[in-house]
Formats: sequence, structure tokens, C-alpha cells
Amino acid sequence: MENKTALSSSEGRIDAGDAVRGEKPVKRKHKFRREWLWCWIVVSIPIIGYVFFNAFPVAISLASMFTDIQHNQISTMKWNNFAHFVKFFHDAKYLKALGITLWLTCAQFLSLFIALVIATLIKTKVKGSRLMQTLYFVPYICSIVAVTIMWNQMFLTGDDGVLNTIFNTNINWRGDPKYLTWCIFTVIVWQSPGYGIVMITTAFIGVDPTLYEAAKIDGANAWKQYFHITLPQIAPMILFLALAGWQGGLATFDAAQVMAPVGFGGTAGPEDMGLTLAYYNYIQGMSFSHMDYASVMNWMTAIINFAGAYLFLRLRKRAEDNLG
Amino acid sequence: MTKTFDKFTSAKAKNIYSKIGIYFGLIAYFLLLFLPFMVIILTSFTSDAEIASTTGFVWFPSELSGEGYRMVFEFDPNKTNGVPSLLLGFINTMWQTLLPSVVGLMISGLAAYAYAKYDFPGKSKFFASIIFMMTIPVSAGITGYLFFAQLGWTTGGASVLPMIIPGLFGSAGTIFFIYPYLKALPDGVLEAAKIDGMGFFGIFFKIVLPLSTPIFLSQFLFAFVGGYNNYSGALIYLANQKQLWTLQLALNQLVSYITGAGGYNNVACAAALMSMLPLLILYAFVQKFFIEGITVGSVKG
Repeated sequence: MENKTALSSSEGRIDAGDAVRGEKPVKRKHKFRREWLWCWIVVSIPIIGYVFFNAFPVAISLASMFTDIQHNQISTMKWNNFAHFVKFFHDAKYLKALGITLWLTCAQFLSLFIALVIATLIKTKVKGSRLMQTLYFVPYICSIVAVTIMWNQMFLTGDDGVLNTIFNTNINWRGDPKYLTWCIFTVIVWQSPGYGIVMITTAFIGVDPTLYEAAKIDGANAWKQYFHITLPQIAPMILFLALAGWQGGLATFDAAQVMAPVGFGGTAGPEDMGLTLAYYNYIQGMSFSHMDYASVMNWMTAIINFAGAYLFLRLRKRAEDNLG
Repeated sequence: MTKTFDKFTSAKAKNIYSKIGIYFGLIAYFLLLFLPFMVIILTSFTSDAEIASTTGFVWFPSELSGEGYRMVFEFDPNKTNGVPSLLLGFINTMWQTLLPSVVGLMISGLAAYAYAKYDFPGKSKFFASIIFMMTIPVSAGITGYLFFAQLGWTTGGASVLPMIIPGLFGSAGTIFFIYPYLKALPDGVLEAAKIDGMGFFGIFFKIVLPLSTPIFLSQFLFAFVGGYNNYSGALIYLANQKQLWTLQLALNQLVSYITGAGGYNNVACAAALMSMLPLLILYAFVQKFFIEGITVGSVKG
């Protein structure tokens, strides 16, 4: 242990104990310091919170998959021979929700593409592009509830609706199972790109400018520079955003729940077309009080989530390796 | 460094056509984003009678009407002791969000400070556990519901506890993020404070915190925006506790009630606008920290 001073030298070493081991032994004996007590207390609090509010809930949730539970009381837990899993693999509604969710995840990837295009325009640094970037971020900080209420006005049925007025149609956008997912899709695409725009703009700034110089000497035009230098350089960031979009897409809940509130019998909008995985989970757990079954769906979705996340992380690793 | 960058891009932008194209793209996207805002601002100032009597969307209200804003408070079916649900929701959101975000940030900050500036026994083991916490996913949504039900935190007034208590303990992500900034603070300043007789907490609150305000502010904003806009958490735990409803919950309940029977879209728009306004005003003042906090904050997970 380092006893010279409680304040470490700024070596950037975490294990300062090892850092001084090779040095001459410090003369003073180990003496308890009052600061250590405070250190132990403040570093323990987050760990206690994690164990209590993450490890315990996760353990109970995992255990509940294999049991029947009455009134959400774990004292009533009873082993049920994988009955929930049998039910799960015959649950057509889960497949439907999975389909809708994957479709809505495409909205995240479309948002990412839009973000890339807009960030590329901002990168040209025309006058006002900085202001534009600030404004483009506004939808991202608006609450999804308010945003969905806002878009509900656009999608109003009959002649009051903005879209119906513009296109001179009379479509019941949110009430028609054909259009409902499009409405949710639109809300997501409207709200999400602001985040990607800021992240990609930041990534653009990080590209080494000498690379462009070399390319210019080689006679590469602006497009060639963009596709052969800029894009590969920011590929890790793009894949990070794709990963975030994948996970955010699988968790789509708020927009669907606000746009298609739980109807009689636990339906999510006309013909259940607003049913995302997280929403189905919520309906099973909260509306039907089937928390045990909801846990099964929850962890199955988590497996899908991890599988996709692993893919994106591998791709990201490869993109980083390509940069050398 | 950026100069060469500018030279190349401006050479590209010299082409007048590409410049027009760039402006066209930027402005078109701006208009698409702000069309819905314009729609709800217009509708919020249109009287319900005019909306009902006009065919098609009312782009130009014949007169500005305050009806929408008045009715948000008058037609509220969810008043608690005469307090309109949107106002109570705002107050509830404030304390339910500020409490965990401020206390949690302080705890995370203190832990990061201990890791960065003290060599206490067992430090490397503690730090390893923080890294472990970072990699194992955090339970979210209804995953925690069964656990909180065992604690009795899902009925009555205790329903608010799952919204607040877990956040008070700080988070590994925040510690991990603040840590390098505190590590970079010069030790000399802290040594001097120590010689002056300042203790562990004195140095943190009087020296470290003022020296690293930007990083703490951006972390705070990240937590605050997340809390302010949190809907699913409030829906799961607070839906049956009207007196504890957050702003987002109150807003959704109010709007689905008012527009449920058709009509009164001006009230819905006014309510949505009013609930967005506080964050938008905050954004206008500290947008730099906002963007920093949210972008960097989400990378740390």
C-alpha cells in the first residue's frame, strides 16, 4: 500500500498499490486513515445499489420464468414444468409483435441514414449549419408522449387532419390496421435522427485532416474522399449508432402505447397492429398480471437483443481494425 | 488542423450548385421537422368551434383563441384537491427527477473522486467491480416489478419508491465517465487544500466540484432530461396513484380524456406544448451542455 500520501500521483494508474511496489519501502507503518473510511463508504454505495436494484430483480425475474406466481408474491412460486416455455413457443402473438417490432426497428436504421445524410450536409460548414444542428436536436429532447400527441394531430381522421388536408384524402390513419404501424414509424423517424446527427458530426471532426491532404495529392475528388476516407473513418461510430438503434428499436414502447392505448381484452390498437414486444410484455405483466410469463418473453427478447448486439459489436471491431 | 479541413470543404462549396443543394437539403429537413410544431402551435390558438365548423385543417385561425390553454386547467377530470393534473404532474416530475439525479450524481461523483484521488486499500478490487457492473445489463422496465412487489413498493404511496430509490445510489456508468476528468485535476491544488485542513468532503465540494462544473452539469442534464421525459416507468408504477402522476403520465391521461369523445384538439395541442416548454427553454439556455450530456451520456451506457 502506498502510505506516502493519500492523494495519488497523477500517473493514471488504477492499482496504485502495484505502482509503488518496486520502489523503496515506505518508512512509516500502515496507518489507518480516516479518508479511507470515507472512500470505502462512497465507493460501496453504488455497488450496494447495483446488487439490490439490479442483481436481485434480475434473479427473481429469471426464477419466475419456471414458476406460477399468484398476485406477484414470490412466496406463492410453484414449479410448473416449463409450462410458460411451452406457451411461449405456441404464442402467435409474440411472433406478430416480433414482426412489428423488427419493422419499427427499421425506423431506427432509417433515422441513422437520415442522420448520416444531414450530418454530411452540416459538414460542408455552410453559413448557418451550426444553428441548424442545434435546431435538429430539438425533437430528440421532446418527450415521446408530447411528440406522439403532436403527430396524432397530423394523423387526425376526417377533414381536420393535416395529412388528410394536404393529400386531400379521408383516411383514418391511426384507426386503420394498414396504417397504424406507419404512424408509429413516422413518429420514430421524426424524433430519432437528432441524436445521430450530433454523434456523426462529432465523429467527422475527429477524422485526421492529413488523410484528406494525401488524398488530394492523389487527385481524389470530394466524392471519392467521402467514400474512401470519411466513411471508413467514421464506420465505428456508425456501427455504434446502429447498435443503439437496434436496442432502442427492440425496446419500442412509448410511441406505440400512446398511439394505440390498451383496448378491451388487452389489444393494442386495431387488429393489435400497435403491439411491440415491450408493449406485449407490458400487457401480459401489468394488464393480465402474468408477470411470470412476461419474464419469459422478456428474456427471450433479451436473447434476440444480445444476438444482434454481438453482430454489431463484431462489425464494429472489424471496422476499427481496418483503420489500423 | 481544421484549417486544411475547411480549405477542402470550402473548395467543394465554391461550386454554387452544390451550395444551393446543401441549403435546400438543410432547409427542407428543417421544415419537415418543424411542420408538426407549427401545426400544434396553430391549433392550440384556434377555438374548438372554428376547428369543427371549418372543412380541412385550419391553417389561419380567424382569431387567436386562448380557449385551449384555459380548458387544459378547467376541463381537467384528474384534479387533486383542486390542483390541475398538469401542474401537479410538473411538481411531481420535478421532485421525483431532481432527487435521484442530484443525489445519484453526487454519490457517483464522490466515488469517482475517491477512485481518482485516493489510494485506499482494496481500490483495484472495487474498481474491477464497477467495470463488471458496466458490462452486465441493468434491469429496466417491468423486469424489476416482481422484486419491488415483494418490498411492498407497488401499492399506495410507496409506488413512488421504485422511481426514486434506485437512482439515489449512483451508477457505474456515471462514475466511469466522471473518473478521467477528476483524475486529470492537478494534485497540487488538492494537496494545498489538505494542508489547509480540508477533509475528504470539504475538498470535494469546495475544490473538485467547482473545478469540474461542466462535466457535472452535462451529466446532470442527461439524467434530468431522461427523468423528465420518462413515461414507461411512471406508467408501470404510478398509473393507479393519481396524486403521484408525473407530467408525462398526467399529460397522456388528460389528452386521451379530452379528445376521447372527439373534438377539443386545441386543448390537446395546448397541453402538449405546455409540457414541452420547460425543457425547450432550458435547452435554449444551456444547449451546449445538453448536447454534450446526452451524446456522451448515452455512450457510457
